[in-house]
Amino acid sequence: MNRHILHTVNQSPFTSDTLAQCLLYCGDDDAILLLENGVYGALTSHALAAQLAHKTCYAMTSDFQARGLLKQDHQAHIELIDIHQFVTLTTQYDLVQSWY
Amino acid sequence: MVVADEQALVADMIKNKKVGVVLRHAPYGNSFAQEALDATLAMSLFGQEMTVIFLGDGVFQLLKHQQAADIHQKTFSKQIAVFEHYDIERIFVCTQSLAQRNISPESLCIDVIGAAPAEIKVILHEQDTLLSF
Repeated sequence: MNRHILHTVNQSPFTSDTLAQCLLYCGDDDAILLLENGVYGALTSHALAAQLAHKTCYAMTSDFQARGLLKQDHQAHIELIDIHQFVTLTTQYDLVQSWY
Repeated sequence: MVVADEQALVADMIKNKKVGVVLRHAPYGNSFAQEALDATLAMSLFGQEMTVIFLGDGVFQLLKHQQAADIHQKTFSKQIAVFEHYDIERIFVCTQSLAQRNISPESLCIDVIGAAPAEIKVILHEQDTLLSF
């Protein structure tokens, strides 16, 4: 794959197949950013957690904390980031694909 | 003169760009499908190389036999038929999304190219810009 995509997901994997679709078309060198209700995807308790473990993955700290989620409940390899790091990520990848 | 130069520069920047339009939502329930169609047709007039990709519930946009008059909307399957008049030929549909919804290629309103998820993945990564609807 010549280009790298930053995929953003803003829907919970418990109610929507948005994250599942994202994973289906996500390249090995791509990254996934979980935001808004998408941060529920950072929990270890959903069916796609094992698939997500093989991906470079970020989640918005503000959305995560707002929903009362605790660090011990989230998948260790998922990096919690702030809005400035979000902006930086969009400049580091060639394309952004929003899954919403 | 300077303005004309700048216009030429901008025209050059957007010309020949590969733009991928990703359609993932069913028609009528919201305005995504309509907005995607309008944007795709408008951009095709500016010389961009358009690629249209139907995924997930977006494949429902392609069903023929749509009749939206009774819900006071424009019938999407008829509007989408204008793609060929705009020389938009790179139209892909995810075969897995079709199969999951038990939709046969014969039920579609326009000619599209069936592609498995792995092929769609490659097509997405070939674009200069992605627009998701």
